[in-house]
Amino acid sequence: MTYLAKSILLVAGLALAACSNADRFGNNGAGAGAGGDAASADSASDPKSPLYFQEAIGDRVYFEVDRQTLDDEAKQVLDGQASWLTENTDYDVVIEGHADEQGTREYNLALGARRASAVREYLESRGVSSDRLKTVSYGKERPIEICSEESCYAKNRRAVTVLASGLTG
Amino acid sequence: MMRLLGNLMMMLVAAGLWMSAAQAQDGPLRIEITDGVMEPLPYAVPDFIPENGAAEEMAENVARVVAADLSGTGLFREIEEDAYISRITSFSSPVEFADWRAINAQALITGSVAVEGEDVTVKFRIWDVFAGQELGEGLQFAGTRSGWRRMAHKVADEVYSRITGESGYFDSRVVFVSETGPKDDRRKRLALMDYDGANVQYLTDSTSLVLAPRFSPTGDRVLYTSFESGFPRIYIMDVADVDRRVLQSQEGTMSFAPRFSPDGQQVVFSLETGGNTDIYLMDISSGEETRLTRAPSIETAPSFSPDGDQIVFESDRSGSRQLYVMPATGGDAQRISQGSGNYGTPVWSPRGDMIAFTKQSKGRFHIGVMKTDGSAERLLTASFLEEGPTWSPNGRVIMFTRETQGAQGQAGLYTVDITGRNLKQVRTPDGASDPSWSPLQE
Amino acid sequence: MNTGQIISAVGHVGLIGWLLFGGQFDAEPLPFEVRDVAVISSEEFEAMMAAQRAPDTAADVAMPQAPEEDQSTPSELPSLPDITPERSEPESVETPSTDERPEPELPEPQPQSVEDLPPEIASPAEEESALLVPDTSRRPQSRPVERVTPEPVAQPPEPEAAPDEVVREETEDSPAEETRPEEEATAPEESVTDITPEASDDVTAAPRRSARPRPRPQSTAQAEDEQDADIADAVSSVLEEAQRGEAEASEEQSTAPALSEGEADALVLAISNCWNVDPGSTAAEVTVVVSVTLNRDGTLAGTPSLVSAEGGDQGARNVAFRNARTAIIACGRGGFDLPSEKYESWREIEMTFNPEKMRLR
Repeated sequence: MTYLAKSILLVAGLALAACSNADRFGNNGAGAGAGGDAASADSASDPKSPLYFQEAIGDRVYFEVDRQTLDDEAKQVLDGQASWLTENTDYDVVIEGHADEQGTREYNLALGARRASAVREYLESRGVSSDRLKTVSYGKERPIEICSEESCYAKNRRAVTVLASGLTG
Repeated sequence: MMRLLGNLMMMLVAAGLWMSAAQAQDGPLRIEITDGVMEPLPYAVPDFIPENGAAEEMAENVARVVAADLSGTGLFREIEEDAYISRITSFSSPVEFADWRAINAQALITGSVAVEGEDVTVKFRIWDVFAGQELGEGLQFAGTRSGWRRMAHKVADEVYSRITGESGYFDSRVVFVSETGPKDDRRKRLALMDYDGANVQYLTDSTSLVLAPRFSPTGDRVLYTSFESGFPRIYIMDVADVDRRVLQSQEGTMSFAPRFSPDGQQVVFSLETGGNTDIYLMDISSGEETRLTRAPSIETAPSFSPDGDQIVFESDRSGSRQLYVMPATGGDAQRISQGSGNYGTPVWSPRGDMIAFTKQSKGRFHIGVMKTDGSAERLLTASFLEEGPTWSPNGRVIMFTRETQGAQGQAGLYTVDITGRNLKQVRTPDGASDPSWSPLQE
Repeated sequence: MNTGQIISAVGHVGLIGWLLFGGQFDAEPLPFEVRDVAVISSEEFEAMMAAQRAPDTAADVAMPQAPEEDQSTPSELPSLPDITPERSEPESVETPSTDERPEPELPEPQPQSVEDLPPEIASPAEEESALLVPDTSRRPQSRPVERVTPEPVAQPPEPEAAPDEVVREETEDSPAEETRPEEEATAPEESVTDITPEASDDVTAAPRRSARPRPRPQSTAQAEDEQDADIADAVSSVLEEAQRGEAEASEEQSTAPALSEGEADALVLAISNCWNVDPGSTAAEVTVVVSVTLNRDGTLAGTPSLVSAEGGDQGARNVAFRNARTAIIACGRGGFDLPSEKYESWREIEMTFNPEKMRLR
């Protein structure tokens, strides 16, 4: 049963259930569809699809060690996200902040929150309504790359903009 | 000139001689010993005497658990049975001190076990072999068959306490996070076990990510952070019936890193709003919150002093993560950590004299201790990644999380003596992290 | 769930209640303490868990089978109406006698002498001087131990508190006969022989030996002295005074030659090797001064006694003294290696055990 049943329970019981689905943190870029949410329904070629948002625009930005500063590359990605969100108003957003494993659990939770918040503020500054934006931090609990080297750490220090269709927590 | 100098020296020598001569003749010879050895104290704990047939197995088991407890501290070394010269054949027969002295057993523990149905009685005595006398008086514990390990732990606590003059920590439990699955899909659930890893039980399932459980000062409740709602929030759980409720659920915020106040009435924790994390205090019964810090920096991982007057916490207000102490009512905070590197997760010792912490320096992690003013910092361990110290109830041992490096990295629990010796892994069925040590059980 | 399980669960919940809210322990220590260990076992814990989850009482310490799947969602966990109300009821079931049981505050054994145990236990506890005795007859290398007291009288037990039944039974089975021989056989004979000569030594030796400690510094001083008469003159008065001082000081005590630095160092070293210090303990905060009397053969005469203690609380001081005493006894088992011609100078020794250099706290 387990996976589907759990997913259903999550959907039923929790706000933003699809966003909490563990598989989303996997390497697989299409993983967002696993929970059965709207994202998987469309193809990446459709500019209105969540998959397009994830892959063509880019759903995530990266950070330096212990930083929440957005560099130019990040801002460029976020500019794309902002305009997409402005056009596709059906979607709300949960911004997840993450950290690499170098740091204590508590500090990394706080650091992830800073990163998520930095993205949130940027999106707001680009005209996305704050009502549509939520943030959450996973600290170092959900790495996407698992090696213990900078190449992996760099990918784990991220903020991911996750679309939540119709669900408002 | 030389002469004058020589003269002076002679005077000094003569004066010194006079003084030492006078001293040597005045009363007993006086010597001072300033160097000792640091060796585990040798002891013997022969299998306890079964008082009836039903007690045979348990009599042996109890003695083995006592020995495991004592030797596990690193402060005691058991003398194996092979070396015994005389046997303990009955609980009341006299002890041949000479025989035990001959094998250098400084302490001897004798005992007996009786089992009647479900009832178990354990009696024991502790002997100071070199002094040739009993250390304290005989003691008897009564309990049930299923609780035999706890009875053995209580015996060991008593032995530890009489020999060291300090309370033990064996009859205690640890709440922790049990971990399964690969690094990028790790499942976590709250678990409870005896301090030595026995009797593991689970308090939650692994559907939601849970972090950093903390025992209440009486060991009956646990605070922890769960993503049950999709966002990190603080929950409080009654250990006895696993009943739990959310403590803090302000919309649009994140709460984590909770710890009880020493009276168990309040919770100090981190609350994040708008990306900024500060420290708050909440009264558990009323739910009333007080904000203790107000800074744009990260303030987290608060921990009360045992007298409840102060709170130590971690902050990056200086640019790096350092430890600060402030009054429990908030207000000015004093930085106490002075070394280079980043400090985190400070925990005040139950004795009140030290603070344990995590330190990150030059790409490695350490568990360390310092005095409460930040002086006398000592790093006890070093590895790729370790964090989250928790004190044994007597303030002698620190348990913490150590995670191995790489894609196959796994977390485990370790203990280390505050002298930095006796580093050991605690056996757990799966990966384990975030331990919190209970007080001694009543 | 069968009846037994229910009963068990109820009883155990009651126990927990008692553990949490039950009476406090306090009383003076009884000769033989009896405490009930009310235990929340894994079984009962599981029983409670089972009450709200799946009925799986067998405490599975290792991996529970397929935990996540079996378990209900978190939201179902807390509801447990049937157990909670019963919690405090069975308090009396297993606890009636225990409430009065004292929680012993473990007094250190030394100061408190009264035992109502059989003689074999009582006597060593009361008389620390009996310590060394049993050892001597067995260990080949040990030498006769001198006793200060003529015989280790096994003090009649003085029951101070009326022991309860359990205790009585425990203590009354008296294997006393077995022990007494050991004490009496060894102790008295030794105690007589050695004490007398020592006493007479003390008297005669003092006046005869002209006391002049000759530690090394003096000889060098004299050598230089000869080279320079002026200095010698200047110094001689000081030296004379020093000797006068010596003489005065020695009047009350012996005037035996003092140990050389090397001899004293060897003694310090010998004891250091047996002095076990736990740098993380509170006892490491305590400096104790211990007085020791030695026989001419270097063995202990009597038990080391505490002169003073500094630092730490009483418990730490007791432990610090015990550790020092153990060091002396352990290292002095075969007698300390000291020059017998200087016996008077080391017959009595005050040893300061200062762990300052080793302590961590």
